[in-house]
Amino acid sequence: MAGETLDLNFTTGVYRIWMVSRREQILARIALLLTPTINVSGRVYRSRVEPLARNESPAIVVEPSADNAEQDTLGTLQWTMIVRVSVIVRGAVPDQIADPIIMDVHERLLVDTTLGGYVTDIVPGATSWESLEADQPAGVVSVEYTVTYRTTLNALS
Amino acid sequence: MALSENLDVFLQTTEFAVAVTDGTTATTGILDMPSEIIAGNMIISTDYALTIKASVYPSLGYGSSLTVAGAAYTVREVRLQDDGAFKVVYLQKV
Repeated sequence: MAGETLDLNFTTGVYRIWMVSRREQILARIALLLTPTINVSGRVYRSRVEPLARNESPAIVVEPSADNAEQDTLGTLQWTMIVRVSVIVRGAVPDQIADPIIMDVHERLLVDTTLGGYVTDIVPGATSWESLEADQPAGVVSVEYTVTYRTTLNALS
Repeated sequence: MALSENLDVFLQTTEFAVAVTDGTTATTGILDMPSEIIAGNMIISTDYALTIKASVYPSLGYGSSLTVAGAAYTVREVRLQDDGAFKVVYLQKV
């Protein structure tokens, strides 16, 4: 199962099963864990590239920033992925409005540092704030989490 | 020779202008509201910009309240235009 798809032929036709990389499983897991986050009403998006309108805030965007591999002595790959969790808010003091959301995100991701067995560790990293003039003051608070996980040498799943 | 302009002809409600008030004084202005993308494509916003005569609401500034075409706004910033006869008031919707 080294490839990304597995084609099966059960006399009636070809069935294609899409395989998902461990990386994508982790990102999906993080998005799932963050869905009940306070104040966002389920607005948690995976790598959303479309801009968020005023009535779509607060919201959370989960996306990978970087992922690097090292081969260990056991012949497996030790991956270190940076996952960026961005909180988009609107209001007079954006960083203040984002604060309880950031707190809740932290608790949801750090309550189990294996994310349910998907990773070997997760550690919070840099936090950045951006406040912007808009039809209502807007803010983007981004927190980078460093996630470590393993795969075999010849498969990413 | 200095020109004497009647600025009101640019701000008639029979044309593009709408009613504006600060709660005390009524005037007219042209409200533009193009959408803009900010924060590195993460946020879409409306850039409310009201053009009025520079001589009205001389103390208008950050945080002032205006009602434009019946909707409430607060002022973000005020900028004079060109020769200073008009000013553009950038607004956020309440």
